[in-house]
Amino acid sequence: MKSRTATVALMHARDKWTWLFIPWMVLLSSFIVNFAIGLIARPENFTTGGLMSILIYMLVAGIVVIHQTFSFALGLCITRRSYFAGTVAAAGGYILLSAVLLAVLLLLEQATEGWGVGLHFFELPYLSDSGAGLALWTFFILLLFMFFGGLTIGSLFRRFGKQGLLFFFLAATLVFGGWTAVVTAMDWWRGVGGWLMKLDFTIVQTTFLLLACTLVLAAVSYLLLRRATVQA
Amino acid sequence: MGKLTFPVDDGRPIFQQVAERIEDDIVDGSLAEEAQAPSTTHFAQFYGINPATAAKGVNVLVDQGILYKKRGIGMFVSEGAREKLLARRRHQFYEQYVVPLLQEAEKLGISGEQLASLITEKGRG
Amino acid sequence: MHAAELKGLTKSYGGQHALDGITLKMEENRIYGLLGRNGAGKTTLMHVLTAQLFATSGEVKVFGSDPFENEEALRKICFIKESQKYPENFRVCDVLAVASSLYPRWSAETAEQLLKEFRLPQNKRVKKLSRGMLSAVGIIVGLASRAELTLFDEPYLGLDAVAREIFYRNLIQEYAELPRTIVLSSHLIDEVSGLLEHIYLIDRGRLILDEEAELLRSRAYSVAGPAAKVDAFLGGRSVLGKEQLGGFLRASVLGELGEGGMAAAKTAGLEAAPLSLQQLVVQMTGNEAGYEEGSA
Repeated sequence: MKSRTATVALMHARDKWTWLFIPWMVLLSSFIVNFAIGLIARPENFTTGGLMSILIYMLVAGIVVIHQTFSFALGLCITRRSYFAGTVAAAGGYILLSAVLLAVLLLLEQATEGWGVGLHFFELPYLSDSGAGLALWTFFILLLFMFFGGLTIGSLFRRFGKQGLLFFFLAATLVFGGWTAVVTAMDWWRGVGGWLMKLDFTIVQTTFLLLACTLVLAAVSYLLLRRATVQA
Repeated sequence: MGKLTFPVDDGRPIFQQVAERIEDDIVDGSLAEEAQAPSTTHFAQFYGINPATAAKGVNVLVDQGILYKKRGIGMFVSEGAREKLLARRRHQFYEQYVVPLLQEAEKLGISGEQLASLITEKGRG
Repeated sequence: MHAAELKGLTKSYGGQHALDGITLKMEENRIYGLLGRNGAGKTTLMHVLTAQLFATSGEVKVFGSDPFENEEALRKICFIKESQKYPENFRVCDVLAVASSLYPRWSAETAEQLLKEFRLPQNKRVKKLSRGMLSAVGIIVGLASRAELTLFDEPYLGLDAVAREIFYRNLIQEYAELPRTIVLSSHLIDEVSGLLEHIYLIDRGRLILDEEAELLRSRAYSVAGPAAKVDAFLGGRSVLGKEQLGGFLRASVLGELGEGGMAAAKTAGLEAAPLSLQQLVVQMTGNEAGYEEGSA
């Protein structure tokens, strides 16, 4: 008996457009635009935020994947457990491959001194001197974090619907806004800022912090999906 | 749909109607003795009924000796089935039509001879 | 073991009961009809049966155990609904490929046969299919899955009469070849009444009929004629409904007509005939107040 997790993973893999074509087309077009600018304008040490596009896309993918496939999977009597495991497996595999590809592209970029035009497209801030291994790991964690962030939002919507999502964002805004107001009023910024400075996380430590957050998001997402329903 | 007027909503069980449908085919000769009867699945598909119900109707005829089963092949019409059915229907005809006819005739004061001549006259035309 | 068992199943939204204390037992390998008006609760019931919705109270069991997160039980269920959503970029072949890897008894021959009969192009994107073609996809999955418990919820939205014939014919064939428990929910009662072995009729969340189809065929009748004579005939009987046109009255009655009843009606100068399943359902669920046993 074929594992249902594998079936779900393969089910996601069937959608080549969402996972293969579109994200890389987006990245490629962004790259081309930046390359053209680099070629024409030749700015000094040109670093762009082009990589952001694929990170944002991962977030969106996380939100959208549930909307697209959850009711389909449950309609075929797949357990929520298998669905979650299969989706995580598919995303994990895909993100790993993407991270490898990005690391390779980064190496190429470094080898060609910015593609011959001094363009730092695949480079992440603070990573200019680090090796390929760290770059790969960082790409992987960043993409994973974005994906699970999106997945949690998608699960929230699935579980509580539009109203629930609205309520959540409202609450989050209020809490964050309120906290900011308090900090400003009490003039704690210096204190907060100093504290953050003192933390002085290295890149590696930051990635492990993100990993921890990702695991929490994954757990929350699963718990939300466990009580999510498919309406009549 | 190959439904036409079957099954009929006259309150009689469908399986009974199935049995009678097959009996009709045997009586009018379209299903000869030792010929193979249509499979219950085909019967069910043709009339849009449940195959289990069709099978029930067929089994009624098997119990009565009208059909018999050849293992692995299907249902066949028994030898002498037609005669058996005709005999039964003749008896039913008598009970259903002749007896009430005689009773009604008596009520209306039609004598036996008048009745007989009515019948022979109609039979001629 | 029963294919499905419900005990006091209730599903409420706020103060409304979508399902109200439903209790029933489905045996294996029979064709069940789940009938009722739009919004009566049939779809909700099937969603709870497949753990896609959660009951507010009561018990649900499929093949002896709770279906929630129960892969062993869910693997035996195939639920085809009219509102099934498919992933955005999926083609017909993608849907069938995923379904085939989920159902252990999947029959590729059945799927192929039906694709041919429905003239469904395998490479077409699902979102580009007409409503009828979309229903056809569902039917193919439902029949080819050969799941021990197969549920069809109004599976032929948009299907023309020819396509519906294809469905019935193949349903009968599949059922005859490999018996399974089938639950068919339909508004086209006359078309499917010959197929159904047992009837569940739901009205406003309540199970108002739980009966063998064969018995229902002689369960009710209509009687018509001059109003006064009909009323006299009706005295003491369980009347389902009455319709009047001038001095002509037609009434539906719950009860067995039989030979005697027919004769009695004839003697009284009235017409009497058994009610078809569709007419029975219409009479029992058609009136405002809901069905009450023994109302006159």
